[in-house]
Amino acid sequence: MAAAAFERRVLRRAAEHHYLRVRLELPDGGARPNAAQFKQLVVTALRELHGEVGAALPVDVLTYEEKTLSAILRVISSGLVKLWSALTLLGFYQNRRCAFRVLQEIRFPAPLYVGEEVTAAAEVKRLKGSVAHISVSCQVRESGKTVMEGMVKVMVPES
Amino acid sequence: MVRFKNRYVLCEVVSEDPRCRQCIEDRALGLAVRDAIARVHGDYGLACCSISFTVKYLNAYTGTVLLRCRKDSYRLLCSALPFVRYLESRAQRYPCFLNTLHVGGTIRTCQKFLIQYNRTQLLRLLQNCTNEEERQCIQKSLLSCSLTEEQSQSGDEEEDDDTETD
Repeated sequence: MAAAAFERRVLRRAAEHHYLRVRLELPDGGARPNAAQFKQLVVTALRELHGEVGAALPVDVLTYEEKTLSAILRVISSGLVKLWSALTLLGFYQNRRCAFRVLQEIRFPAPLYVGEEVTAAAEVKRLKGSVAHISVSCQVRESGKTVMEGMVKVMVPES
Repeated sequence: MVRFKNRYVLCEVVSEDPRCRQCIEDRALGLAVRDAIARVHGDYGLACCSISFTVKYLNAYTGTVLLRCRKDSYRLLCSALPFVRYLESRAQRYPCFLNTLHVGGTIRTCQKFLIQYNRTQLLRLLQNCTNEEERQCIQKSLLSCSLTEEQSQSGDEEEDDDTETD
């Protein structure tokens, strides 16, 4: 397995909001949080690491599925680092071990209008074990402007 | 040139309670400021600001405090200072607040500012005197202020100790 250096660049000024698809893992089982408790958990994580200023960061839970414990979070670009670091360092939910896995990170730098032709591209940036990091982007063919870019993590079967 | 740059924040402790002045000490103040940073900026902010954080100078008579922190985190410190609401010492809480007067890169610039500030404060106190007696008192203490031989050698002088007009 090649031990290449891994570099991830996130251009924060290009877009207003960043979207994260996350999954909460509760290895010890137990009661699952509902949508309000999930939001409370995210805000608590921010408060522990970044204080009252972090807890006041405008984070929205756009979708939440209680069965799979996965959600799509939206945060303004200047708060992405704070949110991601807070989610990474959260360890406990109601005295049970928990962990946040960030599956996708997407941003939309430019608006897209009806009638424009879009080319989607995906490139595998890194393959480690059974997890692949894929960088995705959508570009309008005529003007070349990028309307969507991001990083997606997927599991690949061992083969 | 590579060195660690610090920022020195000059503040003034303002309190309505006259007993608060006696309990202003560097450890209590340091703890109060760190507690405020932890509340406002969390674990990350506390760790950032604590790297080179000390209370460098403290004057209980005038309530002047000089705090030091790293240049990278002085904004976190300054934004947390308004959240210090009380000083705690010997199991007693005294409500107070901190006024930020000046942020400087060295102790010397802060001292220069403090001398200038104290001059203007003395003049203002003189103007705000309601009582003729107090006015005479202040004028007398100002005129009798002088540097003696031992003090001038220590090199750390500012006009100080105006009579308290509480």
